[in-house]
Amino acid sequence: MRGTTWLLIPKYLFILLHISFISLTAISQQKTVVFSELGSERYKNKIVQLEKYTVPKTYQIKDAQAWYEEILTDRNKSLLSMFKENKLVYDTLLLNKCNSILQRIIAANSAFRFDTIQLYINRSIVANAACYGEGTVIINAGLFLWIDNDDELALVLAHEFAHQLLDHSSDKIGKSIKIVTSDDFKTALKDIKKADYGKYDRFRKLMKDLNIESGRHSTYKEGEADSLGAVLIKNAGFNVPTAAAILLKLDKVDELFTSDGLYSLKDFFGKTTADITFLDAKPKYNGLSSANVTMNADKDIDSIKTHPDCIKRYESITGKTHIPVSCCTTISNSYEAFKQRALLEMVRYLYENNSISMCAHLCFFALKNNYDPVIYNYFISLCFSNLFYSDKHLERFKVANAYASKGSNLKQVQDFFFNLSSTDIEILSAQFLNYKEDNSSEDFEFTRMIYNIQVKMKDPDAALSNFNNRFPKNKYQYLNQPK
Amino acid sequence: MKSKFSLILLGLFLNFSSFSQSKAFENVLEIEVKSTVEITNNKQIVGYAFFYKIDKLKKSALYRLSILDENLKEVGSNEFEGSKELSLKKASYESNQILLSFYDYEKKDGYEKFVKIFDLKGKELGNVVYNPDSKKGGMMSSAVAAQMDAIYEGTDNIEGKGFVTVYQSKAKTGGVDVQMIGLNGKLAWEQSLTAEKGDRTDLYLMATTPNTVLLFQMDRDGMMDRDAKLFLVGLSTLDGKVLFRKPLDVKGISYEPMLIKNSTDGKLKIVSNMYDENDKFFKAKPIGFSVGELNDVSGEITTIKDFNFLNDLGEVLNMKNENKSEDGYIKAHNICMMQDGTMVVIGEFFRKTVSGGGIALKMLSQGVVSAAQATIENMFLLRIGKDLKAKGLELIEKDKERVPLISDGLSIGLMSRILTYQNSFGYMYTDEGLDGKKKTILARGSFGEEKYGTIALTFDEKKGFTQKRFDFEREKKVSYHISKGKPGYIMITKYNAKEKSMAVNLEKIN
Repeated sequence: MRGTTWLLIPKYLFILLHISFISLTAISQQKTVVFSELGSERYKNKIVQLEKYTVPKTYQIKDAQAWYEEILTDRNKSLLSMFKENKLVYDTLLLNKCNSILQRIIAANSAFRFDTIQLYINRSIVANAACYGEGTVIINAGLFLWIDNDDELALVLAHEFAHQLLDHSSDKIGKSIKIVTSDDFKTALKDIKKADYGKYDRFRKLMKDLNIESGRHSTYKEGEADSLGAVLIKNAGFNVPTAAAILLKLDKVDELFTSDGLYSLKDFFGKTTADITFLDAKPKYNGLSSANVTMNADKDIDSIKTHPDCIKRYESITGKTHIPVSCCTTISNSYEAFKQRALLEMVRYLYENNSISMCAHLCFFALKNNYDPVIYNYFISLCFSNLFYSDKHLERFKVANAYASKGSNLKQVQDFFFNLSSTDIEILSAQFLNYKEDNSSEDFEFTRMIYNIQVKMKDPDAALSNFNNRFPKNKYQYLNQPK
Repeated sequence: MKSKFSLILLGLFLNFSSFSQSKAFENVLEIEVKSTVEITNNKQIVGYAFFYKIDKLKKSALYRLSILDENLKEVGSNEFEGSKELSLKKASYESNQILLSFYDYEKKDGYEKFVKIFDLKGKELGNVVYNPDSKKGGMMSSAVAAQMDAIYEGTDNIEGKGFVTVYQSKAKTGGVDVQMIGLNGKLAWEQSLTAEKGDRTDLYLMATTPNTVLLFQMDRDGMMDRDAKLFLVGLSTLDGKVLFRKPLDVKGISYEPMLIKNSTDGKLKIVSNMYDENDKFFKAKPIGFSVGELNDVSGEITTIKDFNFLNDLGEVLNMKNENKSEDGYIKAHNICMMQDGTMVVIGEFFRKTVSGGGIALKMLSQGVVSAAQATIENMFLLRIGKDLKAKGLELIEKDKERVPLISDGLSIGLMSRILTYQNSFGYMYTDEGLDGKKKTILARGSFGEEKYGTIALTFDEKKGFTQKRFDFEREKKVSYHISKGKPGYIMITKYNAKEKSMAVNLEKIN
């Protein structure tokens, strides 16, 4: 490995950050856990295509074309980064399900052309989906946690397809360009640039007007997408009222980050030798995070909200008054295979990106919902090893800070991670590593290797060499290659 | 530290949702970071206030205030117009309100100091100005104080009642002007304390309780007088009236308060340096320290124990005389009350020495330059048992540091104050932690074989301490600044001069 250039310093940190350039399998001996293939590997052609992308000449007016180029270049960059930075994964289970729904919708709606639409799975924890306008529709893994049937998934997908079919993106771009190339806007911007005083206020007013206009436009378009989406799935034989329940759940998805009823940390740490009195103690200290406060409610910002209220959307689609739904503090059993896949991919993504508190939070949530204990215990061990290593390198706050909301389980995890002594972190890393007795799987050995490198300060070269000798064809082999 | 950031950052604040406009609008605006201030409550950091200049107006400027919690998450914000040269100095928190103390170099409205009160969302609740010309002189006599755990000029919260602000008086006779601002954001009362004509007084805010604003006062008969009389002054939080003015020169000993704090038994403790009454202030030589219990309404101090270096610490320290040990003179920085009733004195040894270079310079300058220097040596933890007897002394070894002194003739007491004022000692501050079980000393120096840097030394009731060192990767044009964070943390500010970027991070200290 001498003479090679490593991607990250310290050099073995990349092991944690990029666990998965290739498909990884089997963390448990009994159960084979498969990680999805990462976007940078699977979508090489797409990456080449995006890298070669040139903005078509669309506008005759130079200024308008310049704006058009900038907007589309930015969109292309954003897409490219998602592929290259492995935010996207090629998950056959989730993708096949989405594609099967797409095919059903296509078959039932011959009046529309769906041929440009391509579906991708993003490992984001945010329950959302997006249409990028050139045919790309991205569904976040976070959404799958709350989808309970094909009807609901169909409505979410059809909503995004409707944006594509109605060419909303082009409309929005066109409208924006029209505004920013108007004489009034250009004069206003020129005046601001020349002004000695009051730039900020004038700029803010200009941007506010632009955003309010854009927001109104978007709100209208979202309503349109809802209506067409409902028609598309109705034609395909999906149950629209059943499907619309996802809108009511979307209204509550923040519970995953704000609720304190997801799990009890003591259930996970009660039997450990680590000092967990912090969980019981009411600290004398009260920082501003414990004060009751909400951010400034800015009426102007509110008025540029793009999506109409979820409850209103539900009532508009179904024509019925909404009935409150129970969501999202536990994961329901329906659609379980998809939920398991999605959760695992999110946990892996958070871990790779050093969002350690959030990663552990989702692991605890997974364990509470009786998801595979082996894999999530190993991930928790990896989180503690990372926390220990980060602490030694003055990075603990960065990896543990989840900017969590007051009174949430996430905040408890965050504060727990902030306050653990390094001795206890070491204990906990070992405890979760040894969750299962007599384990000698490749995945256990990998977790142990990371523990040895990050916590026990073992020589990384020797540890990696031992690991490679023991598992010559291991799925972590690629990590031994210089980037 | 002033830094300018481009519009892209501004865009984040405004939460503009329109896409892809950053490039074209770059350089339309710049924002300037004016100040970053810790928000404190009962002397602990509970959050931070970031203050930016975001726009120039014809005769003023537009500012943005961002209120961050202790984990650096924004909880509130506001924008307001102010003088072109406005700077945020201090911030206190009490009962969901924040008091910010500003300084206007331009004196736009005729005064240079004022405070604003905001709720946590950033909504302004009040504005109280300080106009020294309108103050009437009080009837106190004078002195000059030194450094201690006190506020020279600034703000503090009064639990459940509001805030107090202290301004050093511009009167020739010295003193302070004190304002109390209630939770309604309005001025509740103001009180001026100064000396009689020809005399000189100096006062420092030591602490507040729900009943009393506690100030340490040093009185002298004139500006040049080498002697001083010491007092502890209590102002009622109800109306600002003087509740007591207790002499601190008692039975031949002068007690100069070091700190006042609530101890684990819920009682108010006062810790003081002890001097011989005839050898205090200008020619002072500390002879020990005292721990007492303070009644904040009457001002009565009940001595728990006077620790005399020679008599009471002789078991653990080899004292040469009443104020000097074999290891040097003793600077007691802090006394920690442990949960089991024991106490730990955090201190540092120092000596007064002569520098070879200094002697040469003194000769060359015909005596104008001082040849004297201070040599700052090891730190120590002195453990005092429940029986109030010294139990042991743990040395924290560090390399000697030499600091030139401004004069050859400084007394040990004055020298110690000057070294504290100049931040020349290795000791920075003590972090009492979240639950008070473990205390952490933040210090800088060369400890053992390690290079010079900042370390955290953590101890509890048991013997011994652990050490954590903060090392930073050396990069060109990148500088780090370490400051106090929320309990259990330090704040590290990384400033990249090349990229004009600034990043703040909190790091655990134990």
